[in-house]
Parts: sequence; structure tokens; C-alpha cells
Amino acid sequence: MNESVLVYRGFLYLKVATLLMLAAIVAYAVDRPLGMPNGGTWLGYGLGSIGAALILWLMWFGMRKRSYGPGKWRLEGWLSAHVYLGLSLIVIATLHSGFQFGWNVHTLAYVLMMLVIASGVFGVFVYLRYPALMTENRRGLTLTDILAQIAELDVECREQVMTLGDEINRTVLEASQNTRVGGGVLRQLSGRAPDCATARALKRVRELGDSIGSEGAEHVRRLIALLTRKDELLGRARRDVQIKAMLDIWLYVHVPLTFALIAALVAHVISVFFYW
Amino acid sequence: MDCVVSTLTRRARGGVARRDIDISAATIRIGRGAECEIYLADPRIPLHAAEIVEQPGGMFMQSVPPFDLRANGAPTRAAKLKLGDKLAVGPYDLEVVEAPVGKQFALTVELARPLGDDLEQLRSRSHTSLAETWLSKRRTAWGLFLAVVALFLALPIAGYFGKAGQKLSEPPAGAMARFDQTWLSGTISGAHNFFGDRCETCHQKPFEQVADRACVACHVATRHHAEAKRFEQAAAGATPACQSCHKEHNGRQAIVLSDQRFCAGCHSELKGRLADTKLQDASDFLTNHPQFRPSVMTDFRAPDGGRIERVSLADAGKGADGKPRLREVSGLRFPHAVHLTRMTVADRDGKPRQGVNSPSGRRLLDCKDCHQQEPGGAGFLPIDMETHCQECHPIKLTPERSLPHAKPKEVQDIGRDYYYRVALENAAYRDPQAREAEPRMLQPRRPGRPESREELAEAAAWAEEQRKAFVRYAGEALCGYCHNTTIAASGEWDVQRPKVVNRWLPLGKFDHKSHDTVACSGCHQGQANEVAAEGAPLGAGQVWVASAACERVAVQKELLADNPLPSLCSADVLLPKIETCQQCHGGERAANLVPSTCVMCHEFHIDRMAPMQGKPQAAAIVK
Repeated sequence: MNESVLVYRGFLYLKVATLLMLAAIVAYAVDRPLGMPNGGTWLGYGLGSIGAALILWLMWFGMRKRSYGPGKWRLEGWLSAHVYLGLSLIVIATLHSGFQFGWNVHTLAYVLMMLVIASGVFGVFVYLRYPALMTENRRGLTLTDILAQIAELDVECREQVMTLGDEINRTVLEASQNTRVGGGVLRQLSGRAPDCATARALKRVRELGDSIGSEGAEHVRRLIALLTRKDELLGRARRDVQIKAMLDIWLYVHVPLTFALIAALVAHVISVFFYW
Repeated sequence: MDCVVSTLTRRARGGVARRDIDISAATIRIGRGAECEIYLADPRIPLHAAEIVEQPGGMFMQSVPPFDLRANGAPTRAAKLKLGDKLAVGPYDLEVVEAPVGKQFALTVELARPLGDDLEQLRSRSHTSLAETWLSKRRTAWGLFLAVVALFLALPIAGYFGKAGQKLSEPPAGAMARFDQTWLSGTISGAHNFFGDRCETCHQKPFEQVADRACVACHVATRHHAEAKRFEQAAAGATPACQSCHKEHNGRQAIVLSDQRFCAGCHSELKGRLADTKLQDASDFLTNHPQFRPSVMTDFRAPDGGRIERVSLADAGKGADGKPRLREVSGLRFPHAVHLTRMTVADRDGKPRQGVNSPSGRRLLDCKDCHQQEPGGAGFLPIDMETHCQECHPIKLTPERSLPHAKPKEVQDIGRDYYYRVALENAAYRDPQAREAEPRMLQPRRPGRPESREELAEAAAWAEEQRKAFVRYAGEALCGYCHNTTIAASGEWDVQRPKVVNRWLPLGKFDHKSHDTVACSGCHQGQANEVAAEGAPLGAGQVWVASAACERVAVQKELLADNPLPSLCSADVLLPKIETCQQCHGGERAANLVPSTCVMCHEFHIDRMAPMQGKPQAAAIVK
């Protein structure tokens, strides 16, 4: 995604959403319901219907984006509308509530909706910011390229220590066998590997290098250069995994909460008419 | 020792490549080190992993600690080389094979467990996308969806049906009975909160709006606003339900919606809908509300409790009798200005003092000396002759003898009894000299001598004469001081019972207590406009004043100076006009005024109307 989604057709959907929000605000300001404003007035029912319809339509985007091929509208347009009309729900649903909140299923639906929107906003943010960082970090390589380079470096490192002592050899072997990129959710998101075998090996090799005689010094020098290069590549690979995780993680909130929202929305609508 | 070591390499296309090396050494070293006779180029092998030595009893392979060998799969430090033995040195498999002629033994060496593809292994160790972690959109989505549906939809519905048939007077029973509390859309009003956990009290049928029958099940005594037929006519067919005005779940207080539109909907053009209505149109207290029209007693003599008419405070017209229409003809004389005067007069001791004459000297009276607030303070206790008037206005037969404020007949009987008793007690008195000096009947009777017939007749005649004088005096001056009295030809008098309306504005609520920061005179102002009256004789210092109710009264000018209520005319209707209220109170949306909607002063449910529609049932939840 790039910025063209937000500026799609001259901010067409930003304008549509703004109009929708303005209309809702004006209606709310003009409307003088009996008693306190709430979801049970005619304007309340109207805004609620618009909000529910929007939520269902926004969910449909999840289906639409899976069906490849040219639809009537371009996917880019759908996404642009998804973002802006999704944001307009903040105004529409808040006015629908009449600013009445409580510990109940109605506010639950509202809070879930706001969380879905917030995660979506975060998604827009990362999609605007992180692809550039990813390109910069990769420097023309793919993650597979970086991993292949690391694997080659492992072979080279092992060759360098083939004639060296057992401890340094074991250290390097461990570095090539135990080094990993990514891992669990937190490792991916943090981009850090506090117990990286390669970093450990680099440190150890530097220590051991001092005690190795002149015949092995050249090997150790090369080995340190190779391990340093590997360490740098690992940093980039982990950063790449981190960026990708950031690009993905919000969807793990956005999508499940959307389904929770749909359930709460159904419960909300049924409950208000069950106890009319 | 001499041996042959064959290195076997399996080809990708099948087949095995074989490379033989002859070795001749005292000790054959095995390892990654370049000096080793059997060179195993794998990082997993130490520089010096093992060696083969000749010992008594055969050839032995010994590992260099801490490295371990495997002899036929079992870990060991040393193993005798026997034909067919399989030994493992790290990833290499060594097999003792038939030695060629001239050699002591032969071994094959094969890298059985190569290090493998580094990239493949690195990839298999690394999880580079969230999809490879425990996170799952699908599982979480389903889990949350089902949890919300169960907790906030299925259980509340189950709870509702579970409560069917349970007594409302008891707390709801069953594990799920309270799950519908999560549906509560807002705080329940304080009055209804005691059955807040029984939603079904009002929400009697699923998917049906709360019906009036649910309300009147408890509110049996609540009255209608008007006759049902006229109400429907006025509301143009759209008969409002209880819910139209009473919105629940809007906080502790707000069960009654006070929007003035409720009332204005009909009352702004009521005449158009009910041609015969006596009500005047109103829609906003400040901008569209008629002048107050108090229910005034216009003739207390009229039968059936007197004639009460609604007369506008702005009505300056005159009735058929030529007198102003706006006058309270209650049959009681009470000039407020005289009682509240601040005039300075010489007191009994000759010193000048302000106020009215009282047994304890001159005294300044205030409104609250007579108008005492009832408990709660909304209104006032009735004025009572004994409590409020009699201290200054005693009813006396003689200076020593008081009379009760009772029915005229009773009072007349007391007077008659009194004079007859005096006459009888003194009938026998015979003293010509004393008789000349003072009225005989007031002299003490001489004891020991019975009265003669003449004396008795004389006494009776005297008593009758006194009685008649008393009756005339009482009727004209004593009772007549405040009351309208009639004197029959016989001389008997009667008091025309005064009739004072209980409330001038019976359909308008007014809480005096909540206005007690304002002086009484801030709202209740008497009219005493000085008027010119040519040719009319006036005493010294007197002026003519007039009010809406009375055309002209002569009064000492000083009496009105600084008077908190300069009303001289008993018929004055001392109510403030709407303009006085409008100084502080405006309509619902009036700027800078107290927002005052219709229900601030007017009740919707009117006591004299029939109960609200719906069959009154025994209130189920109120024991």
C-alpha cells in the first residue's frame, strides 16, 4: 500500500465520509428529541441503521479483497472507502449513543467498534510507514537472499575454523546450528534476539583469538570478519521480520475484534427490541 | 602398522565412489587436524578425535576424551577392531572390512550424516512470520464471536424465559436470572429501581414496546389528563402512551420528561381542535401564555358555595352590576394596608410609635404574622380568627365579658342569657336614692327578700331592652366590623358566611418555600393609585385612592407610606401578574431566565379526572 490509497481519486472517500459525518452532526444538532438524546429516538434509530449497515459493508471488504480479478470497483478504491467510511463510524456511532455509556452490551458493541477502528488506524499507519523502512532495510535483497547469505557465511566460517582448536570450532559450529531469525510473537515484534548464538560466538572468538598462535591468526581474523558480517545480516533479517510482523499484527486484532463486534452488534440490536 | 582406509562417497545418481589410502604408522590418528592419518573434514569432529593403536590382543580404537565413539551403536571410549564392526566417529561411519594381503586391517570411512543444507536448516529454525506462531485470526475470531453471543445474547434470553412465572415480589431465582442486566440501556429511575432486576415487570412480552397496562398495573390511582374522548380529539387521534412522557433508563431522576412540546403539541392550538374548550392556548411561558386567570369568588352570597369565576388579572372591565369584574367578593372585610401600616401614631403613653394598636401597645405587623407556612412550605395555613385576629380584635359583651367567635344564634343567646341573669339577680332591689344615682339593674340585690311580680316584669322588660341594644350593636359594629350582617325586622341579626376560595390558581402549582428568598411584597403588590375626585369631601391629610377592584377609597395619606402592601380594598385580588413571574422565569429555551416548562407549574394527571386507561389490577410487586 502506498499513499495513493488515502488520496485515491482526489480524496473522494474522505469527502464522502466527511459529508456523512457533517450530515450526522447537523442532524444531531438540529434534532430536539423528547428527553435526552439516545439510540431510541427516530434520529437514534436512523444513525444506528446507518452505522450497522456501514459495519456490515466494511466487513464485506474482508471478502472482497480475497476475490481477485477486476470487480466493478478497483480494490484500491474499496480500501480507500473502507478506511474513510470506517473512520466516519466514530462520529455516527457516538451520536447514535447520545453519549450514553454504561456497563452493558450496548457500550460493549461501541467499545469493540472503537477498538476495531483504532487497530485499523494503526494498520493504516504501519502500511504507510513500514514498507519504506522495509525497502531501506533490505537494500534490494529479499529475506530469502539474506538468509542464503547467512547460510553461505556459515559454511565459510566453518571452513575457517576447520584447522583451529576444538573450542573455537565448537563455538562456530554452534553459531551456525543454533542461530535463528524471528521466533515467537514477541521476538518477531521486538526484532531482538538476546541470546543470539552468532553474537555469542563473535564475542567468544574474539576472546579465544588472543590465545591462538600466529599460524591460526589469519584464520581468526577472517573468522571475525565473517561473523561480524553474519551478525549484521542477522540484524537486518530480524528487522525485516519485525517490520513484517508489525505489518501483520494489527490484523490479528482487527479481524477477531470485528467478529466480536458483529456478535455484540447482533446482541445489541436484538436486546433493544426484545426489551423494547 | 599398515592398513588401508577407503573413503566412500555416495553419488547423487547412485553408486559409490571409493578412494583408498594406504597408511603405515605406529599410531593412526583420526580427526579434523591436518596431521591426522585419517582426516575427517567435518566441523563436528575435533582436531584429534581418536586413534588406533596396536596393543596385545589386537587393534584398538580409542577416543580422545571428551570425545566419544560409538561401537555398533553403543557409546564407548575404546573398541577392539573386529572384522565387520561398525564404529561411528561423529557423523562418520567406519567399518572394519577384510584386509588385503599384507595389511593388518582395512577400514571404510563414510560421511553418513552430512551437515546438510545450511539455508534449509536456518529456515527451519527460524519463524519469520506471525502465521508460524500460535496466533490465529480464525480461532480468536470464532472464540470471541461465540463468547459474546453466549454471554450477551443466549444467556440473557435464557434468563428471561427462566424467570417466567416467578413471583415479582421475590428476588429473581435461577443461575441465569440476572444475565439480562447486561442489556440495561441506562440507569433506572430511583422510583423503579427497587425492581430493577426484574426487567419483565415492564417488558412483559418480547419484541413488544412497553404497554400502558404495565404502568397502570401499579399506578392504579393515576388520573387522566382530560376526558378520554376529548383528549383523543385534542391530540388529533395520536393518543400518547405513558411512554411518550415517561422515559425509563435515563438516570436516577429523569422518568418524567418535562419538554414543553408535550403540552404545546395540543395546547398551542387547542381551540382549533376543541371548539368549545374554555382553555386558552399556550405554548411557552414567556412568549405565549395567557395572563393568569384566578378563580375568584365574585359573589359569596350565591347558592352552592358562592359564585366562582375565572377572571384575568388583566381584566379591567366591569360586570353587569357596574363594578369591576376582577374583585373578590368574599363577604369579609380586611384592608391589608391598614394592618401593615408603618404610620407613626401617639401610643398610650403619649410617645409616637409605628404600627397598629394592640393590647401590648403599637406594633408593626408583618405578612407572616398571619400567613404562616404549612408544613413543607408550599402553601399557608388557613387564617383563623382566634389565632390571628382576636388578640387585637376581642369580641366583648362588656369590658370584662368576652364572647366566642361562634354562630350568630349562639352569640345572641349568650347575650340574652347574660342580660336576663343580671336582671333576675337584681330584680328585688329597692332603694329609691340609689335608683336615681345609677341604673337599677346594675346595683347589687338586697338579700333576704323575694321579688314581687311587678319587679320581675320590670326586670324582664329591662333585660329585653338590653338584649335588643346588644343585638343591634353586635350586628352592626361587633360582627359587622369584618362580616356582612343582615338584621331582620325582629331585630335578630345574622352573619352572611364569608366564602374565600382556597386557591386562586388551583391548576397552577406554586411552592412558596422555594421562593422564600424573595420578600412577599416582591410579588404581592397592592394597588393604591391616588386618584383625583373633584368635589368629594376629604378629611385632613386624606387622599382618594383606587385599585382594580375598588374604584375609590378615602385614606389617610400617611397610612400608605412605606406600606409593604398598600391595598385598602378587601376585594383586591393580590396576585402577581404573569409579568412578575416572567422577570425570572422563561420558557424552556429562554435565554438568561429560569427555564420553566409547563410541568413546572401544571400537573398532567388531574385529580378530578378518571383513572388512566387500562384495567386497574392488584399491584403485583407492591405488597
